[in-house]
Amino acid sequence: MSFASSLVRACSAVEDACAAFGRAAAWLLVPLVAAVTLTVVAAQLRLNVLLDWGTPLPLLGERLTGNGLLDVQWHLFLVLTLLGGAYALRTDAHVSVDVLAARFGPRTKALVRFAGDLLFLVPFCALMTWFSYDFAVRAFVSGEASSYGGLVDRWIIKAVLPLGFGLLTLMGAARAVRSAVEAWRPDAAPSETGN
Amino acid sequence: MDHAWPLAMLALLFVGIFAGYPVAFVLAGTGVAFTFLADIPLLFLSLGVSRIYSGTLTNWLLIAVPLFVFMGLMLERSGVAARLLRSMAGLFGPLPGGYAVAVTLIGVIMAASTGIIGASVVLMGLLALPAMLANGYDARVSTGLIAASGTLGILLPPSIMLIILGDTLRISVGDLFMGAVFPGLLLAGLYLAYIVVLGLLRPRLMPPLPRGDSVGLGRRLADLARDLLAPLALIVTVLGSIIAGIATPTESAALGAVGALVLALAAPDMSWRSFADALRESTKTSAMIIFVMIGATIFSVVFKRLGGDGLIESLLGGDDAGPYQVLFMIMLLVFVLGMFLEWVEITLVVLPLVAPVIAGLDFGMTESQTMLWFAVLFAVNLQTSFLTPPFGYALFYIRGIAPEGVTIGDIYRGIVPFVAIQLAALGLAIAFPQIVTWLPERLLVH
Repeated sequence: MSFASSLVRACSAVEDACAAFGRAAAWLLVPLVAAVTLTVVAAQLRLNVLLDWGTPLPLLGERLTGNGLLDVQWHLFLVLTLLGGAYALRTDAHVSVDVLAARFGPRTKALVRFAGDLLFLVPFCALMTWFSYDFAVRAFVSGEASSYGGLVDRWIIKAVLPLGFGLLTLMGAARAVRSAVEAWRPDAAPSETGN
Repeated sequence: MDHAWPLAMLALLFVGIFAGYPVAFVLAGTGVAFTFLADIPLLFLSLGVSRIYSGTLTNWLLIAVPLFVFMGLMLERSGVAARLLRSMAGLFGPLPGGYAVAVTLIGVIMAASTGIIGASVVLMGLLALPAMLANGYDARVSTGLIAASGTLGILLPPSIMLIILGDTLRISVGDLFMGAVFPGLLLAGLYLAYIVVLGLLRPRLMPPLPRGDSVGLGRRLADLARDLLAPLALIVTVLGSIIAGIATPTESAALGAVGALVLALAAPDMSWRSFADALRESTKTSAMIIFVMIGATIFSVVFKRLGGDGLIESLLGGDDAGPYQVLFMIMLLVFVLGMFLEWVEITLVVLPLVAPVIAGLDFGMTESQTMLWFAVLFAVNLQTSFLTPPFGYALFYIRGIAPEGVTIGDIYRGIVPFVAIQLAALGLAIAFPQIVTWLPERLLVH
């Protein structure tokens, strides 16, 4: 195997690894549906059993209040979509315009990918990783928690931001290298993967 | 020239988008690039992070997006719509033009029970189109009707597009849902009228289907009633819970997702794999939409910082343009962009730029009425983005699955009358804003 084709394989493996997080995070949709549904049910119960209002709902345990449940919802949503970003990139699910691109050959497509990754994707995601890392660290240092009696430890969810953007940065860098090889050494590239 | 920076930003955006690179990252990357080029302090972009966090990622309304996508995908896999199509075709098919009527009605019912357009275009393209063609239906009428009525899902509530519109314009999604009901039904009614008139004038385009078996009318009606039960229950759950004030759009989406899940579990060919697939598809679609929102946020903070607002205002006619002239310019822009772009890009890129201009115009309504009306006009207009050549999602899809003998020319020509009907409906909604504003004012207490 030539150096070029091992490079392409290695990059593909990195991209797959970055996408695996979002692929797994898709299962969070199940608890998300459950959490929102539970909120509706709880709200209806509250109307019926006015006297019990103020105490934590028995189904949710002692710790999880109604506001906590609302927090759980957007926590799940944030993880799902942010980690899903890299997964969507790997599977070409991000919306793009094919008016001209449909006529491009594989080599031009690889060049566009290479240029786009370097010009648009990597600088943006790298900056976001850097800024959102600070953002999460500040939440950790200040011990930020919900201001309305929801979940505590905001830094955990804020730390998902640098993770999500970091995965995208890494994937973008790997994809840029792979695209460069595919553009300049089409013979070395194994057939396009992605599932 | 004072607008050099924002114009250069639009130029890079244009190049990146038409090169075929994912729009979300073209938007964000253009914002970042111009932060460097225009020498804006880098710290300015860290504002972007907190805005993305508080405006998009922790936005409770947007949780409805994955829930509605999942609901639509599960409903598609449940086979509910396929059964409904079969029983409705059994009832209407033997009438001249009857199958076309059945297709339109399925389009409305599917539109009102899911928030995504994929489901009904897929279903009718795969099941109805071959049946129509085999029975001598004209290819142009069939493909045009399927594309147009399949696209109603993006307008009739629940609709992901209306959720994004509501979020972008900061108007109540409940109001928007209700505001879109009559324009959506108006469109469906116009499609039906067109089909009926065409069937009367040129019956050979839509011949009646042969009666397959000697099933009585009573039995057919009973079948239809049975197959209507599940979708109607879903519509009542989702829209009813919003109207009754029991649930927010997000909550109604979760209730709908549970309902669609139950229907799918009851389907004989439901598998674990198909369920996992639906979860992954929902995740990808939601991430796609959220990332375009993130990209648009980054783009617009930099664009505004560089004076882009002024550019847009002067492009839309400046201070001396009348309100309807500005509205016309925006509608024309959306229509033209719709030939090349999809609703996600148009909504998230164009809308934030033009919304402040619209809010300042006087159409003889309150500002909240104006915004609601404008949002629904925008939504009606965006329907055409699925249908206008050369790049409409629905046309593309139908081209992909159309049986042999249907050419792309047939599909392009077939859609023309339906796009004309949509423009007529848009014109009616502009001339009579009550079509939009009446229902939300009646139903929802503020």
